[in-house]
Amino acid sequence: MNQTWVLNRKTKVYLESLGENWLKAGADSFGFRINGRTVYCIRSESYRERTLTKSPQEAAPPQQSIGLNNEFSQVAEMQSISARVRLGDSQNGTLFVDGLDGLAHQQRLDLDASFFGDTQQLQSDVDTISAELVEKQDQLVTLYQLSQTMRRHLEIQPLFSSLIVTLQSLFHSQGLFTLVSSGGLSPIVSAYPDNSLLDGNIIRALQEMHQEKESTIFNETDFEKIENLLFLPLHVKDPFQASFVFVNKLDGPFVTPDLKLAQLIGEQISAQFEYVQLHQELLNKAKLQAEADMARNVQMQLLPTTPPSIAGLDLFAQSKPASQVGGDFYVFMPDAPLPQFVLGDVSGKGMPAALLMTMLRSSFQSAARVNHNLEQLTPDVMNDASRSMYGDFTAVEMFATAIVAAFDIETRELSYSNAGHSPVIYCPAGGEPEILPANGPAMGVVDMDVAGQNSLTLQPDDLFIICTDGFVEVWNEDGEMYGYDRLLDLVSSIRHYSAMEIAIEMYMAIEEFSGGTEQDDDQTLIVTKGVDHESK
Amino acid sequence: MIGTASKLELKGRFDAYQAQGTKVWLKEEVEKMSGQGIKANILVDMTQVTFIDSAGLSALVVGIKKAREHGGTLHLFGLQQAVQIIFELSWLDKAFPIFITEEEATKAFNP
Repeated sequence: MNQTWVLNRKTKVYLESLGENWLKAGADSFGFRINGRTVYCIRSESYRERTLTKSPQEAAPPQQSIGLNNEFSQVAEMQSISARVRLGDSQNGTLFVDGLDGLAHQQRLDLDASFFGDTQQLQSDVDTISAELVEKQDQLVTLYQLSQTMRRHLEIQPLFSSLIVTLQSLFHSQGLFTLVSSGGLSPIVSAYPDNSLLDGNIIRALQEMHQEKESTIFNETDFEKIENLLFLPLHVKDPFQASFVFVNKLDGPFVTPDLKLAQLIGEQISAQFEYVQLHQELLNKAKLQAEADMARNVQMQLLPTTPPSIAGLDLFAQSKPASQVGGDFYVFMPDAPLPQFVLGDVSGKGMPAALLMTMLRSSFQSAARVNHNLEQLTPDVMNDASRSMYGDFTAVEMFATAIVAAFDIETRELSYSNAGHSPVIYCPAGGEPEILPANGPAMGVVDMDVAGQNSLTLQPDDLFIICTDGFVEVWNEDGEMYGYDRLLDLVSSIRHYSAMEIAIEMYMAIEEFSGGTEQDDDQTLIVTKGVDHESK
Repeated sequence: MIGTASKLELKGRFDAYQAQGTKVWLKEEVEKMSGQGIKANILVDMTQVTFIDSAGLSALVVGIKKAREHGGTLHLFGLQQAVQIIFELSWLDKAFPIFITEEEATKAFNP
């Protein structure tokens, strides 16, 4: 309260009532001085009449005059009493009465002074508390605005920007620096409202400070442009790190309540940042999922649900994708010189496998268009496709197993080149099913034309099934693998069904075995069953 | 290091969970040996491997291709029957030099 004393309305009313009582008691005047300066005075009618006759220049003076200096210095000859008013601090107040004296009046004036002093003290306390309340209310309003602002933003950068203005006004600071870093890298420093407070040394000091975990006040600094600052680290999720630095408080040094307020806000902002980060993560995940779904749709579009009709064969093909896109594929090349079909499995999962799968599928189609040597049909196609893809397989460190088969209806000969693919099952109508081993290495393993060729005769009711390891490497709840033996037993038991029925039975058996356990492999198959030429 | 070869011991189910780390190890090892002017010969102990899937095979394929690029090769030994069948069915028993014992596999590296 070390400020100029101001006569406010309530004090004036109080002094008026005191003064009127003194005038009634016969006083000429009553007043109040602060540090020798008269700030309030009231005079009696009779006194004014007396002075009016004395001095015409002072015609019609006001009944009350306020803030006049030494107007009553002429009262040296008059009776007069005064009493000290305790106002606290260094203020020196005096109540005075002219035209009266004596012990009784002095005691009464002392009492007035004492009451007046107490009243003033109480008034001052009330004012202080009110000011604090107003300040707190302002802060609360700002905090509310802050939380509203934060709620509106679901991305980090706009959230950050919107916070700056609100925070600066809340802390009455000349400037605000923000530091944001990611993954332990050096933070990016931004300054608001402009860069005028920044220089190289300050940036270095800020970057060092950015590592601190506790909010701190510095009311003295080594920097010319910076008198004081408040450092506020935010607790955000890894790998991000963010902090605010409020610079040069406009109304004096930073104090503990500023720090507490900053911490409170820091917690709120941190929580919102985490929320925003979480929201972003979910959003990204949803985007990825949408992209994966789209990729899977594309993949499914590439796999014909109805295979072309090939004379002498009952054909069925299907691919049941795992949770993500994969590298399984099949493709039919029904035209000249002989109808052919390919089933393949690119190693690995996800987008890389799917991309490579589409390339491989195309390279088989191209190879089938240009190779017409019936003696060597499937090895030529396999070698061509292999050769064109070898570099790509090596570059991305992947490989693929695939089988290409060709069927000649005239001889009922089915010839095939199997580049490392398994399982391929052959089941003659009168025999038991067996696994046919590969006759060449997987594609992308060796850079040579090494495709082999085997052939068999596919008479009516003979079965030739190609599937992917999704039909073998299936695990049940006990950790047992389905395996080749169960697969062969199954085929044996369903061999009299049509191609489509066999496929359905195989999917069902796998489903039943896994007991709903999610599988991470695609399940893809081509079931081929010999039928009479005429009946198909 | 056994003689002039680096040895890798694999265990249990050699599938996607192990394959990635193995692939990285193989590539780094080959480059390290090659950097030291040593033939990049790698010996893989399969005796403890109970199952291998295409991801595991893929890691070994990358390993043998890398080793051959740097003048070496990759030898496997001690395949359990289930694993041997997978190699045979996928023709990889012909792409990889496969041995019964560690001694045979080591001796077979060209000096």
